[in-house]
Amino acid sequence: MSNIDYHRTTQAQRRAIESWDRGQLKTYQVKRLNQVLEAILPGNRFYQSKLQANNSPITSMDELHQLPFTHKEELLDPENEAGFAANLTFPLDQYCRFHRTSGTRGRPLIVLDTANDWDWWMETWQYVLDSAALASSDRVVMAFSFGPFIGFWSAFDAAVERGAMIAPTGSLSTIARIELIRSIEATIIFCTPSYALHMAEVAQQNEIDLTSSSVKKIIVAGEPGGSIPSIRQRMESSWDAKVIDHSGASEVGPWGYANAEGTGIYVNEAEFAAEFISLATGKPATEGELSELVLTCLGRIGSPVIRYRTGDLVRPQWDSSGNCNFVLLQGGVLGRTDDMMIIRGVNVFPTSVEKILRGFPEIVEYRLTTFKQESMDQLKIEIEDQLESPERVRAELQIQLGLRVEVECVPAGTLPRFEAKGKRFIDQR
Amino acid sequence: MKFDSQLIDACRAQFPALLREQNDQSVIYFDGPAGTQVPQCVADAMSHYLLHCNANHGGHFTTSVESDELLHKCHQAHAEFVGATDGDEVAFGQNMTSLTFSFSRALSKTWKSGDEIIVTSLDHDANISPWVLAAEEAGAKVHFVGFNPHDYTLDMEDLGNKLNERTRLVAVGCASNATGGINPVKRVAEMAHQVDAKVYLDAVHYGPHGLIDVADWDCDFLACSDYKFFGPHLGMLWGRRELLEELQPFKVRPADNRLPTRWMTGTQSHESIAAGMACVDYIAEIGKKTGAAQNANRRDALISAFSAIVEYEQTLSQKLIEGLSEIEEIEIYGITDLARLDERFPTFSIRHRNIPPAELASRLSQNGIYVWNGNYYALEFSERMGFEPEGMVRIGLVHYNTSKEIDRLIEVIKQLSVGST
Repeated sequence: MSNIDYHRTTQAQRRAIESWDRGQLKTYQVKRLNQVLEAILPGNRFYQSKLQANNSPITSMDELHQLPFTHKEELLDPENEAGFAANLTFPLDQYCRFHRTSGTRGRPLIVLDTANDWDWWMETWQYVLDSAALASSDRVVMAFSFGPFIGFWSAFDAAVERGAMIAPTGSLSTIARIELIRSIEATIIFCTPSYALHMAEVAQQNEIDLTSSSVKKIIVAGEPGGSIPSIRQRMESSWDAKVIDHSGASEVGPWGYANAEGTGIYVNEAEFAAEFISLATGKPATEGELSELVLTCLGRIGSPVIRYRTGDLVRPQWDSSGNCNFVLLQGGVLGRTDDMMIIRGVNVFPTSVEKILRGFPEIVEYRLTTFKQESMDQLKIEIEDQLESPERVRAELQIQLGLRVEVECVPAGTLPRFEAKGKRFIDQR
Repeated sequence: MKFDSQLIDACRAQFPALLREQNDQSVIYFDGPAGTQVPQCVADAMSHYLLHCNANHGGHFTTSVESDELLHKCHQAHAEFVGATDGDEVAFGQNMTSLTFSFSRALSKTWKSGDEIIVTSLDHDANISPWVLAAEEAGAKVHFVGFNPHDYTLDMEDLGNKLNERTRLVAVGCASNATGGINPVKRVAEMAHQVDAKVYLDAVHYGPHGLIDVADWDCDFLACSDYKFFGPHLGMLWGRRELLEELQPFKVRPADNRLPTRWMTGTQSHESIAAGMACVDYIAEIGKKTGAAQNANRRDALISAFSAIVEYEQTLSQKLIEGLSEIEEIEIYGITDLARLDERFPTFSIRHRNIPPAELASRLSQNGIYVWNGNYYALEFSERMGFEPEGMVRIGLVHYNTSKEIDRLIEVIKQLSVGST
């Protein structure tokens, strides 16, 4: 099996890496990327085919853009009935971890990892756990079903590595999870933003005060929310705990983690090379410009991705004034390129709507449905509103989005609740 | 010839400070990187100067003539210490920091807006701030070369990428006073000279451990401080004659404009300079006990001495690494690969998972073990590691330290670790 010059790090070493200036970082990325290319090209038919005209070592990260993009659709090999991703480097017997994407946007994709790659996942996860200051003295509850989705499995193993006590809660009901959190005096929980709010709702229904629980931190992922102020604030006030956001993708890895202020996500540029494609121009984005995040994995050999179009919408900020010089995504992941609606000429993202809805503490749950009407995008919003007053919501949406949108109140408890990635946006276009 | 136990005892016997006891135990001096203890001969030389030939420079009376003759020999001794031949290329001063601040002021007069300089994130701030401030005044851009976080060595690829035709200076330490790592300064000089940049080396931490060789390294300037290599509180600056003559120092008008005095502002601490020669000779004497002929010249004796010191100190490094590695709570920030001991000196920055640096240093002190805590002015390194303001604990060994002292240190840290959470 090919190996690359990759090291496990201590927290202090990771801090030193975060302090690199852009020059040192780019030098390191060139070395890592060339190692990845050298390691994968002999056996990876997918990239042999894609990179056949670009098989010489790169000398600068500026040359990265000469390589072709990788799109998710390409990884879904139609001829592979089992559903394994098309970008495998090694024969199947080299892989020891089987995971599958949630299939939120189509056919699920099976991603496989070798033992070495899983070790690399652990390394990249440590940056996330550093941002949460997860210590060996912590008691951690994984509020997750432990299906084939990779995120919390990798989080679980990474937290175990740090010596913390970790409780899986795969088959437990929400109330049973809450009781477990209380009985073992958990200090940290891992879950999606939706599920953190759902647990708060269930706790309230059962007259349990979560703010008096021992939980000090909630590490969230899987959907936008952890970096959206209104959602974040709601989670933090429900639990009286700090929310730590992070981002990842099964086909890429855990690529991002929250800044200390909770206002954005750093891309872990030691392990991922980031590019930003302007939504407006299709060219490299400038500071703060709304753009699509493109990632190249610098350590995953068995299932590599080079210039992967994540579809995540972000605003990059290169600021070297703090302790971490990695690129910061202001507000985290703001939405998905494929979620964008154009309603009466206005670009609208579900996350923008969600951000407004979450500003109303009385709105317990919601669902957005977009559809075509006479070739035009339309949006319908359903809310479970304790005040049953949709007009104030319409007014706020009009102020913030400049659009009059249909808002309908539905009876309490009729909209679905989610444990993993929430599916509150129904695209019928 | 090796540094055997007989020689270690003989060396230790020359340091009165090593007889100090605390709570009926010998004090262990692991504080060398901040300033070593001095042998009796150094104190005697200082005393002799003050008592028998104390005079200012340039007089026609006997003590002044004797003093000048002695100072001339001291310049020559220090030239030989750094691997040069011309004593006039050595200027003395208060310490390396003061000399570097003063010299940076002169050198930066040759810079202009758009020029660039390079410093490193592994250096003592004395080889950073003077250049950064000088660059600010000149409108020059400053680049920091980083370090490899996996072994804390200088990132030479980063250096290569930051060097260009606009680079006027590369300021780098010969060895890190935080990590103990030895920098490949000969290679640095080679790379810098390819773009016509000058090279300023800080050899303060290198001085007590290894043979300085400005000729082999092909640097342009080098500064160090005698009190780091068993001498008095004194600094020295070496520079190529043609450059020291060409550059314009900031000096008072009546002062001699010839080398070396044009770079030595005001009356120097002559007694310290005299004692500085004694510390060079102390090291040279070790050389005569480790292979050099009794009539060997001073440089050859120094070569022999440092060869033996390096070999002995590597055994100390190995023992300390092995001992510290047994303590789960300890993390070492420097090379720990026993196959790479030739890339480091026995200076170890550590942190204890459960005991803050100041507390650990204090508790070691209560046990008669003297170590430093904080950033020891390796501020850039400490900041980049996220250690400020607590910093680290530094265990710094030199040739008068012993294997038994390491045993005691490890034992005490183990005791302190029990029950620490």
